[in-house]
Amino acid sequence: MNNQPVILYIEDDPQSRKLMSMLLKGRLKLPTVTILEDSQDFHDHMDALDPKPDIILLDIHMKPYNGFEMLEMLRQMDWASQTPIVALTASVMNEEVQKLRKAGFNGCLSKPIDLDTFPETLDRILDGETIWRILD
Amino acid sequence: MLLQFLKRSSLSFKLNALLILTAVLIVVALQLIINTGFSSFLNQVSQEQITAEMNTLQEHFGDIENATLNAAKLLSSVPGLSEAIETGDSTSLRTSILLQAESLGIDEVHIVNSDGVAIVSTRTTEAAEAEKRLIGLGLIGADTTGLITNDEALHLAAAVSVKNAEGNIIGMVLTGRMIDEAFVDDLNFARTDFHTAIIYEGELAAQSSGAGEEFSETDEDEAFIIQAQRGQVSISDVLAEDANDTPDAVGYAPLRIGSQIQAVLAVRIELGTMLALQARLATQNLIVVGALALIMFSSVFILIRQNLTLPLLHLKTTSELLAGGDLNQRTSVTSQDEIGQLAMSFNSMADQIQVQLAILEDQLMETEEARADAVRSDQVKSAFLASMSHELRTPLNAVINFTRFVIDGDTGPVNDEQTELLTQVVASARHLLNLINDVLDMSKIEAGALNLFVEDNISLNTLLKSAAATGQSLLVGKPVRLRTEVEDNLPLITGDRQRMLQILLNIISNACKFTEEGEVIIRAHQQDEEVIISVSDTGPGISQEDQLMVFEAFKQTNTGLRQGGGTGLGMPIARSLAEAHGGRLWLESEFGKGANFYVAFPVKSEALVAIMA
Repeated sequence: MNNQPVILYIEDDPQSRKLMSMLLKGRLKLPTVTILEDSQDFHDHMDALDPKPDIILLDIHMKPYNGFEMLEMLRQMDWASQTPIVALTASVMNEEVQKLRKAGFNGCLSKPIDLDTFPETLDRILDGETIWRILD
Repeated sequence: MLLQFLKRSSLSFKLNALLILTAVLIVVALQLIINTGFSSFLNQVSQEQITAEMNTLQEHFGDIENATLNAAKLLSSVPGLSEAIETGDSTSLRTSILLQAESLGIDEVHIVNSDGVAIVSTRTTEAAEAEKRLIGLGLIGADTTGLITNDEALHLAAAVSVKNAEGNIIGMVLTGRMIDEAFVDDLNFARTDFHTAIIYEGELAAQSSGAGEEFSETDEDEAFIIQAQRGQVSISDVLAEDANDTPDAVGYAPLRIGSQIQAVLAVRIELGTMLALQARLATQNLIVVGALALIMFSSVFILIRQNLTLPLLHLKTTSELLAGGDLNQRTSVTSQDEIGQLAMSFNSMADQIQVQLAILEDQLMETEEARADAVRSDQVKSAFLASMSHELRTPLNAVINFTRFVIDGDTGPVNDEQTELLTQVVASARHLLNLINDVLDMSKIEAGALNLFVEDNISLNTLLKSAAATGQSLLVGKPVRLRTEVEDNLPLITGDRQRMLQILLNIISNACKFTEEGEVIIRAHQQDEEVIISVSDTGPGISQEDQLMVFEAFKQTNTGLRQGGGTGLGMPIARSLAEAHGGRLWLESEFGKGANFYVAFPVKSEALVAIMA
């Protein structure tokens, strides 16, 4: 990990949250990582986000608002309009990835994630690259 | 021109024109027949009339002749005439004789004694030859009539002898009537449409007052006159036109006095009345024929319109409406004739079309429903498979990565045995993940739900490099060399980048897995509109019978089974994916001598371009 990005991760699966927490906070020791459960949780903590995230990771299969709706919501906020937003999902079939691209995500990382390549991929996305990593 | 015009004009116009033409021809023909008949009829009638008239005139002339003779006889028996002739003194008788003669219509009176000395005479000039002869005949006691010329005027004269008491001829009386216009009018019974003339010695003596034009003017007249003098009756069969443009019929006959032909009698009939009659008849005929033709024309027109034109027009309109899509349109059947049969055939054809179209529409609807069902079913399958993928991958994420955290010591120290076991867990989980991927891919292919994410400008050089790196990682610890003989600038390809990489990974990792020693060579070159990639290994090779199974789903070769890995789905999936790109995948191998796998990608597949659009 080259730098210390501010990361926001929204995910409704507790195991995935735990996993990412262990990776980002534990292993990569990033100081500003916020992990929220869903859109409600996001609304409650949105204003408290300081500094604003450099990158946002979004689960797709969430309720009540799914990843696409969250993306749309975020894009309407001044601070998030230019922020890289990446889908982190286990749905990696072509038609689903196609929907992600059309919706305006900056990339997609598939579950299961690859612990070894994850930091480097994150760096590349922060450098402005768009990555559609859907195959192991 | 005319033919062109007729081709363009409507049926009713053509039939009507034909009808009018026929009517005109009939009228002309009728008129011709009537005219010819009338002419010959007129000729015949005029000839008969002239003949009859000439007989009448001859008779009438005879009557006048007798009257003249009787007048002479009456005068010859006037009391005191004998004495007057014998004494030569006629002074006392002269006035009474002349008065009596005048009352008898006599113009000339001539009384002579036996010596030829005139006792009473209205004549001033000397007697001509004919009169002298008549006087001579009277003096010998022959009562005679004849034509004489006196004072340059033609006269009809009669000579009668005068006898004394002893019965001796002592003189004679000659009475004469001047043949002038009045005479001829009298002879002609004063008619105006019928003219008469008397011709004496080839010259016109007198003609009836209404005649106008003179007889004996033309050459034909001259010839007729000569013939009449010889005793023949001649009647013109040519309708000579007179000055009033009115045709006449002219006849010439000998005029006999006693038994001698002494002059020529000429008659002329004016045919104006008859012609007027004919003209009236002709007009009437024309009107009648015209009216009949009009009735016939109208009837035929109506018949044609009702039975031909209107049904045909209706048929035309109906067929246009049918063609326009109104399939309920039918033409009306108004008769049993050919037109009616045509209309019935047309209607039954329309019925057939309607029925067939309905059947076709039903079939189309069924097909459409079946297609919609299939699409729905595909969508359901796709959704199910997507959901399966998601639901299976999510727990594996936890299994694999939590285990990794333990192995990597993030949760505290682990001993070697634990590390080895946990590494087995990760490997098994990854294998399970691969199995899941393959099964889902195969299911998609078999469900026809495989969707490619098509992009332009895919670099095969980059894909090959990445796949070769993966292959290399599989050869760690094996005496196998991986070589690449790839052209530097392979063309950029249109396709699904991820799927193409999947195909390449499949055949390269297959070769690396099964080769225990020797080398694996990756080659790629462009050939026409394709890029052909081959992967050759020095592995065990594939037997003929196994080659058939390599590309069949859920079947693994004996070697594959011995190697104990994979699902047996890799090759069938790779081949299906290559074919979905419009490409091919095949192998060449001999058991024990390694294997060559080939994949060919079209540079630009029509099917993929269509998907992208």
